[in-house]
Amino acid sequence: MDYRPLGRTGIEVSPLCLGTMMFGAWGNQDHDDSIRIIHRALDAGINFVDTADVYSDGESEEIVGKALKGRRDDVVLATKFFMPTGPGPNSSGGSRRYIISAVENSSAACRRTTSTCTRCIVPALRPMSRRRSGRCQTWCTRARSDRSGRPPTRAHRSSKRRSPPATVIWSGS
Amino acid sequence: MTEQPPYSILVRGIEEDILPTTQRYGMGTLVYSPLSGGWLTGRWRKDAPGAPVSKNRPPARFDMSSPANQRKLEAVEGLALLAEANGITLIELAVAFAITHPGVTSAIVGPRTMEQLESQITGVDVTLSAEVLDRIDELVAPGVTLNPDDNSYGAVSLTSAARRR
Repeated sequence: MDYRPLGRTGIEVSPLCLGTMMFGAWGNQDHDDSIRIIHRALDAGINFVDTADVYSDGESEEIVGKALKGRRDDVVLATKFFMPTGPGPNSSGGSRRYIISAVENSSAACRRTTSTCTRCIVPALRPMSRRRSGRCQTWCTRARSDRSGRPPTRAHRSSKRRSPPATVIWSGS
Repeated sequence: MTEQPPYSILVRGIEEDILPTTQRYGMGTLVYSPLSGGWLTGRWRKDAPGAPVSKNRPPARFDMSSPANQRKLEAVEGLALLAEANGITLIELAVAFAITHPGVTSAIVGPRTMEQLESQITGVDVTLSAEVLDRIDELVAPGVTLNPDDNSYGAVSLTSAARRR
């Protein structure tokens, strides 16, 4: 499969991205079958997987986490924030507070089953300020380097075992 | 940063605004629904428009009595013939179209079954000739979205009156 640059991120992705909205309660409720489908896509050369916090009320992220166990570094994983995940006024939207909690929750969903789920691509529904996106990107980078959220140390930055900086992307769906 | 709008042969509105913009700024663009919610699988055809629709689907996209959806049925007839004449499936035609535009990085397919994935994945290897792309333009003009309801989230940013007054 020919890969393409994902904008100016330096990341190369396949022309097909595997959407996972149909995995879980909203579609295929058989986790093992869903995982087989994900593995088949990866085996065919697809290296781009798109999920969202709201897909099957989080079940999709859990299935993706299970499927990517041991293969996480082969995949560019996109997830989302913005749509409501709870009743309160701060359980949705593009505030810094909500973006951070969404990324944390997404990482948690993946981390339960995937030890290396550390790189997050996070699209929101509506554009936000450059300042806010910068903060989010910084936070993702920190989360990747150190789950405590502290700034990365020099050792973290120089470690060749670390993946490239996290990427924040936004838009519909 | 990337953009994630809907895009398919039946939903071409982003060719006019979003794609030139993301190209200009070097943004990656993931388009979703390259099969337009199943419309470009051939599930609904002129002679068989009554195939069941999941209750989770927005009715406005599948109400066969609406003129906009009738135009989609017409287009699908032409597209199915075009695919057949070129020895590919309608699904392959639709997937290949979505990733042909230079402003598109990737098209998101959302299979529920292994069969659906297998039918979609082969579209990656299909290269559409200029003649085929010209014929698609005749069936659905560039920049045209036959049914605005297929834009899904298109109007969310305008919900607040303050955004436009």
